[in-house]
Amino acid sequence: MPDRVLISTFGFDAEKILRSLRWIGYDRLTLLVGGKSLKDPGLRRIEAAERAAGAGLEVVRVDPFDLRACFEAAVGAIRRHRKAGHEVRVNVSGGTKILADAALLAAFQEGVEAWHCEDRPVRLPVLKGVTFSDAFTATERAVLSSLRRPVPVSALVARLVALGHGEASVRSSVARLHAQGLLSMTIRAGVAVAFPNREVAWFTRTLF
Amino acid sequence: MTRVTVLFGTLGWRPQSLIPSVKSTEDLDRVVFYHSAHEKSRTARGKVMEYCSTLGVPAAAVELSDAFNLFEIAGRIRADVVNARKEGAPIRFNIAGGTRLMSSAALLVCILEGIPTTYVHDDTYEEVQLPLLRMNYSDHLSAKQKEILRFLVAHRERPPNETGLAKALGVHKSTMNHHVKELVAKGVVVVLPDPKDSRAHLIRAAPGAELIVG
Repeated sequence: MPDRVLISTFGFDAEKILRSLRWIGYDRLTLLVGGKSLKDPGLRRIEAAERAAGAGLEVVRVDPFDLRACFEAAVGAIRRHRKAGHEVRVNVSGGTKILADAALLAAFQEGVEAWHCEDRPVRLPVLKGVTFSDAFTATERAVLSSLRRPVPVSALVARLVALGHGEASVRSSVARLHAQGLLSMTIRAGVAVAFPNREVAWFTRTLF
Repeated sequence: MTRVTVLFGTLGWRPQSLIPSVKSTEDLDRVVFYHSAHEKSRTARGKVMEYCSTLGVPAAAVELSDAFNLFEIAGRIRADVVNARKEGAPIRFNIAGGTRLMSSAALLVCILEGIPTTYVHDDTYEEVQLPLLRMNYSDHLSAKQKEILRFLVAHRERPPNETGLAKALGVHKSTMNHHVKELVAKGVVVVLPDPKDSRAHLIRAAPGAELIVG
C-alpha cells in the first residue's frame, strides 16, 4: 500500500489542524507554513507529535499572502509526493485565505482529494484523477506549449500545421484560449500577434 | 452592443477587499456580494453600498446565515451565478473577502462554472487574476454515472443499498457494482455499513456531490 501523504495548510490554528489529523487518515504530514506562523508554538506541538509517532514532519515555507507562490508550493509538494508513489490528500483548513484557496486550486489542478475541517471534516467536491489539463485538446496544448513570446498568429498557425494540426483547429484553439484569458492578442502593424498572458503564466506553466 | 458585467464578491470586514474590483470592472452593470452577519461585516457592507451608490451602480448585499457552512454558501452562490448567466451578462468574481469558507465556496463555484476570478492583495490592494478555467466534471462521468449520482443526491437522507439502487435505476446488479466502484474511485460516492444489516452496505453521495451534478 502506498503511503498516504496529507498536505495541509497551516496558520496559527494548531487545534484545527490537530482536529483534522484525527479525522483524515495519513501516514506522512507536509505543512505549508508561512510568515510568523513558522514560529508558532502550535507548529512545535505538531512537530513533536509527529516525531513521537515516528513519522517526522515536512514543512514547506510559503509567503501566505502571495497566491501565486502558495499555488506553486502546493502543486510542487503534490507532484513530488505523487512521483514518489504516495497517495496525496490536501487539507485546506489552516492558514490565510490566500494559502487555503491556493491549495484548493492546486488540488483541483492535480485532481487529488481536498478536505476542509471546521468542526467536522468535509470532503470537497474534487473528482479524483481529473485535472484542469484534461480539459484541453491536443491542439490547445500545442498552442500553449509553443507560445513562449509574442508570435504572429499566422506564424503560429503555420508552425502547428507543420506539426500535423489542422489549420481550423489551431485558429479555433487560439480563439478559445484567448477567451479563457490564457493567451493575449494584440494587433501590431496590422498583424494579429498572440503572446502568453503574463498575469496567469504562474498557472499555465503548471498545466502540462 | 456593449455587454455589461455583473461583479460578484465575498466581503469580510474590509471594504477595501472588494472596492478595487468595483473600480476596475469595465461596463459594470451591478454588484452582488455576500457577507456574514457579523457586525463588522455589516459595517463593511454599508461602506460598499455607499460607494456603489455614489457611482450609481446597483448593488445587492446577501447576508449569509452561516458563514461557516461551505456547501450551503456554495449552493447559494452557484444558484445566483447561474441566474445571472441566464441574463447573458459576463460575470467576474472577487473572492478576497469574508471567512475562509466563504472564499473557498466562491472559488469552488468559479472553478465549476468557469468564472474569471480575482483576488485583492491585503496590503497593496493589487488585483490578482486567476485564469478562467472550467472544471466540467460532467465530461468525466458517463450518462449512467451521472444518473446514479443525481439519484443518490436526491436520496441523501435515505441512502439505498446497491441492490436497491440497481432496481431503482433499472440496471443489473453487477453493472451497478461496476458503476459504484468507479464512482467511489472518483471520490463522489461513499459506501457505508448498513446499521440495520451487518452484511449490507449503503451507497451515499459524498458531501458536495450536489455541486458536481449541478
